[in-house]
Amino acid sequence: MLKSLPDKKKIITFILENAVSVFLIGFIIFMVFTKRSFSTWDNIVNIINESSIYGIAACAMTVVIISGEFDLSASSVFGWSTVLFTMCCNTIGVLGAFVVTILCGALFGAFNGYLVAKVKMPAFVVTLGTMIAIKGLAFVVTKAQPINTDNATLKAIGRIHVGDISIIPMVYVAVAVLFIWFLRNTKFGRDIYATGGNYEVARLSGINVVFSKFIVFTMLGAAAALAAAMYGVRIKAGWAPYGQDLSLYCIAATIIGGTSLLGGNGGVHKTIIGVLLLAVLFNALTLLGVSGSMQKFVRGLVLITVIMLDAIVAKRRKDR
Amino acid sequence: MNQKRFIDVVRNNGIILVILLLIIVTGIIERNFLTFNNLLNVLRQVSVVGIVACGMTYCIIGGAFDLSVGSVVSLAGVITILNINAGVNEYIAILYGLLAGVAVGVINGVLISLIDGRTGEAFIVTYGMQVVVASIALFPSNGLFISGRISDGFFKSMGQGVMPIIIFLSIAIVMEFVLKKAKYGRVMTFIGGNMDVAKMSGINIKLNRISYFIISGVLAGLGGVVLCSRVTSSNPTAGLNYEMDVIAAVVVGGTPMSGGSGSVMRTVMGAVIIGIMSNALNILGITAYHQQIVKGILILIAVGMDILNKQLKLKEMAHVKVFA
Repeated sequence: MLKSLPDKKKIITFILENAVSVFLIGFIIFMVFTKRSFSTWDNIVNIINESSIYGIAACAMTVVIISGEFDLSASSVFGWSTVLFTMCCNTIGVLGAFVVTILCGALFGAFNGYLVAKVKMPAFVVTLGTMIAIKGLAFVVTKAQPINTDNATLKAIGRIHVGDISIIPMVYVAVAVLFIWFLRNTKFGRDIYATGGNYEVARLSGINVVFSKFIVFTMLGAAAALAAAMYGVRIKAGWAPYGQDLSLYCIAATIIGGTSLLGGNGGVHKTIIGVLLLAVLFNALTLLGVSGSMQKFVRGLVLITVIMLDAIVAKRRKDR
Repeated sequence: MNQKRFIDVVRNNGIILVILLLIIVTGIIERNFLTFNNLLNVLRQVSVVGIVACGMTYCIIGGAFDLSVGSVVSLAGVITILNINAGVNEYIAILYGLLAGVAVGVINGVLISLIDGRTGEAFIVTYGMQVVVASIALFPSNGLFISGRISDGFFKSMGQGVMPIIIFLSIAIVMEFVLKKAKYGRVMTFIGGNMDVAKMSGINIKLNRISYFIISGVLAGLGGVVLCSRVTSSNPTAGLNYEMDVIAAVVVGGTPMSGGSGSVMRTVMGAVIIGIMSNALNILGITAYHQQIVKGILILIAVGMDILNKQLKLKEMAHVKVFA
């Protein structure tokens, strides 16, 4: 009896610490039994496709959050990039469009990174400013109209499939693997953890903290642009308001996955689970016939619940 | 010495000088700009954002912030107009609108103090509340516009003429006084500056922090009521992205996001600066989308100057220490 007690405690701790994964598995089991259409192959492919585009940006957002910062401007970079990508497809071809879009995204990211890392302005304010400015830029360039393209190469890229999986999830997986490898196995990746964990200690140990903070924003800019290009591959159009909820979605997916907003811990592999949870949840709500505004309601509740759970677990760990 | 003083004035009030320059240039180009009516117009336009921004200032000084205010603006408007249309006494209807703000503030505050949340947690919790409250505001009318059946009276007068300006400025003055002179305000600065030390000094952090969210919520509710009264109808998405304008006003005014210092009067200044800027740009014939670019850059310049100024001051202090 006495021996079994700690085990029980262990189980509770395990469930609490992995609350999100446990919830995800429980929810999937629930859906499989209640809704036939949920576990069909078509729907699974649908979930994967839906989550891939924002997932690309979410991976990069996780790296920014690990470094102890966050970025509100990713949504505007995404919107602007859909416009730029479509325009480039119409003028200089698909390859050029990819290069120009990603470089431009990286440039915006680098601008944020410079102001945060070097000038030491608070990330919230910097990215609020660039968010407003870049969104304005996208509106000005397009006169607020959506633009589309019928570039043949782009259509061909959109048709590439392996089995039922299109190219977008493949890019997502490649980006995720790249980020996981980068964070775990490179010096720069370890430096980012150190910078987010304790900035002053990292600086005094000779880590180039300014570069670490600078590079994470640049990567996020590039990733948001890549995500926008993938969106372009899918819908062959660009419009300034596209992706307006991207930044907050990415931050939410990161936190839901279990990366702390304080920085210094977590990882991209966790965010993939967070992205998956959000995708499964929205998909399930749609299948259950929940209306649009009700879905938003549930989305907000889930967000609050998860952050509360996360914080309570962190507090327990600290008290122990 | 005189030159040094001049530089100090420029440094500390850089943003005001920039705006003065804008006013003068626009005034020269367009006569209509510098009329009393137009300036009154600007103040009226910024009053709703200003009222909400006063509450946000308290939240930020107290070491948190509140992303849910935009949705509260929508919700309070919807509730007030629905009640007035249902024939409820207008004072009671306004009270219901404000109570919606109080309720959201209580939930925000309790959740965040329950987990000893700092800025990061406040960000996510209040964002979650923003989404939740925004969808609640959509339910009663299925997302449609509700026009109000408003007769002459107190509610109608709230949004007309100089009333919004009077409401805005009197709230700001009272809040500034409380912030600078009352114990409550000093405690707020203390908590925002160093929460752990404040806790050890025996201050009831939880209760105090909840109150900041309530103030922010109730002022967002008031903003929603005033907005409704101005347009005599309610739009369930009226407050969409309002929080960004509000935070922009606080930031341009010069209250740092890190908490522990700042002032409501500076926020008033920030709101007016943004208002004057968009009015001037309107008069100069610049579209709303171009204005967004200018606004974003204005935020960056305002905060950048503030930061550089602080770094310079630190350097000067170090210099004085070495050579004194």
